[in-house]
Amino acid sequence: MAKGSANEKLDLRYLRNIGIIAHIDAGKTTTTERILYYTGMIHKIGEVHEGAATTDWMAQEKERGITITAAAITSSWTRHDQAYTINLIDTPGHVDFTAEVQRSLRVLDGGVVVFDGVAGVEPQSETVWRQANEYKVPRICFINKLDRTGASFERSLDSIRKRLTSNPIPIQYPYGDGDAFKGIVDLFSMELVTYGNDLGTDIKRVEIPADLREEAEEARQQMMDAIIEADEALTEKFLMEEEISDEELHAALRRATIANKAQPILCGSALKNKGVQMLLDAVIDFLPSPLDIPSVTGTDPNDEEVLLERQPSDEEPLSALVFKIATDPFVGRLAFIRVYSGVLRTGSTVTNSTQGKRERIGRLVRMFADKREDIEEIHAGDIAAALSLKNTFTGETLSAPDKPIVLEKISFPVPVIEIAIEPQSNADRDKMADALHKLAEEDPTFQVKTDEETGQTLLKGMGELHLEVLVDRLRREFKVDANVGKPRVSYREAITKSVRIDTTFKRQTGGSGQYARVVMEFEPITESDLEGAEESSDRKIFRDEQFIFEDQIRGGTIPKEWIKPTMMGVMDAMKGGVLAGTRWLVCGPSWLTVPSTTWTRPKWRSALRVRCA
Amino acid sequence: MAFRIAGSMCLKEGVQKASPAILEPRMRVEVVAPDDYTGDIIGNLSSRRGIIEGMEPRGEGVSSIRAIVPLGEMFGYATDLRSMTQGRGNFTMEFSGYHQVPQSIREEIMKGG
Repeated sequence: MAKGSANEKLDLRYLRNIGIIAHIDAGKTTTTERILYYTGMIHKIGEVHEGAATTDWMAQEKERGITITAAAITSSWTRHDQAYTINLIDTPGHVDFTAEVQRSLRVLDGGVVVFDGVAGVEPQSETVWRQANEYKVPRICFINKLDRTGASFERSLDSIRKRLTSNPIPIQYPYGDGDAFKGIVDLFSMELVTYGNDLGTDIKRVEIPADLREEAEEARQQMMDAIIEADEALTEKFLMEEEISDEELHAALRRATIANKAQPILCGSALKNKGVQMLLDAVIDFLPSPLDIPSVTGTDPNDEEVLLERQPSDEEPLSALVFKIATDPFVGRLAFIRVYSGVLRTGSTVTNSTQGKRERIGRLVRMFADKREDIEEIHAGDIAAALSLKNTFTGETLSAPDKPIVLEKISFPVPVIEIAIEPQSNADRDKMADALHKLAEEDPTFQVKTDEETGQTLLKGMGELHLEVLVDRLRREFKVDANVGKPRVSYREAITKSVRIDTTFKRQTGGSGQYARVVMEFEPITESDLEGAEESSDRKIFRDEQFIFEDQIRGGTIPKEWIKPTMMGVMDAMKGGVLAGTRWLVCGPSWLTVPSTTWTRPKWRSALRVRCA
Repeated sequence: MAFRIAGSMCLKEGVQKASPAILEPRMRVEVVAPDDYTGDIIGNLSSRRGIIEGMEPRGEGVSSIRAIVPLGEMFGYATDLRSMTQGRGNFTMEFSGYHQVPQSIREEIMKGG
């Protein structure tokens, strides 16, 4: 196992919490896989297209070759003889799983945005870029797939500049593109990095060949100009015509990146194992440690007006954000936590300050994709997971019981599509409710509701793929078979003209028979009629949301006990609908029925007795 | 009980004779997307029996389109909108009111029921 992964105390300067974000198929997971390989976390590279990537551990992810859940993995990387711990979050690129990206960004300190060198900026890159802006996440960019035919570093760079309105500063320059992609020029050291084998383990730094010299010089000049422009101190120095060293440039670029004023651009091909080590170096060099970003702020749970601040230090009172709940097939409910200040220890009791409830911390684990390792505590600035937190949900804050704080919740997009789901058997019905509840807990963009009118169970989510995956998980993980379909729309019926109806009901079943005769008038009404219907001394009215029932019997010729059951009968019938059996009858706001009633005295027959309900 | 049954029968008969109509829920839909796609979006909404109410620029090359569309026609819209706009369009919808359905749809509903 790599260094710095277990329980040794973390020096925050040597910690990076980063996420890999990009458009679908730009190569996020491939890049992640390479990072894990070079950092010694895995010994064989698993390929996404073969369904063997480490972070895509769900069956659905392996089959589809896409990432669905953001997996958090710890790894380490040595730069200038110092071991750094990198908490890496691989995020999904598909728009349906945008919530995963959003909650990852909330807890990350920095991001690596991967671009497809052929396509340049793609729609989802724009979306994640905007989200990263929102959370003020500093980023570096990796222009991937430069070995593919049609790839162009220049064009990709241009699209980043134009479509993302950002300030990209290339710190590398490719040697050839497409099939001719041979190596990468490091614009700081002005060396050409070439690869002796396809595994990317035999790296040579050589002199830049003559045919590339001129272009490389020009690229370096542009880089220097851009860095100087982004940093005030350097601008001044430049104007004074003082010498500026590479170290100063490097430091200035780090400052500009963390302040979100610039994004260093790197290039390579993750699939062909080119440029990944340099990407890791850049992560260490340019992305912030937890100490470099502003300290976290929150509110006092007892008084929302009071703003509290917590420094990223173990000495501060505990504040931690639960950013993801996952159901693990082996260990059950897993809560991913970013600790902002203080230390979260096993066996301690903390307050869920969002709900004001106490939580006992059972096991804490560090995640390595789908494998895990038990740890005793999570320090300030670190990301790990807790088992068996029963009452805590995504976006809630855990804090020290005596110093509670509530951190800002993660906001999620509202679900946009709905499908109806129906269990195949009664046994499935019971399991389904439970399973849906669990899935909804994991995923804040997935909602379950029951339509009271149609009686259908509806699933609401972010897209068809999102719901398809959930239904698939229902089948595999929870063994629930269900059919899905288009949600039923609840129609209404209404009458469009007035009628007067005289109905007689007769039944004789031996003994006492039943007899009733009712005369009613029905007429369409409008919403304003409904609102304006008031009971007064000369109008006896009953109304609900759909109709007005007016009793026009005068002089007590008809016993009151007959009127109420008649109205109840009307209401019974209105539940059913007349035109299409199962629909509701009724009266939408613009068309309503008024049964105004007139009564004739029922005829009595000697053999029958009228019985009222 | 007799009056209850009579009341129920009376209403059923009455409704049948009073030219009943079927009403469907309609949604107020707002689509926000880059200008390049507004033509396609409006065309698609119309094919979903939508009534376009208006369109206004939102700045930065993005416009918002407002329309009233029957709920029954909105199935699959999120996916359609994404493929039409390369994932750059967004929409929201809320209940607007009930409205009478056209004859062709009415027949479909009655067959289905």
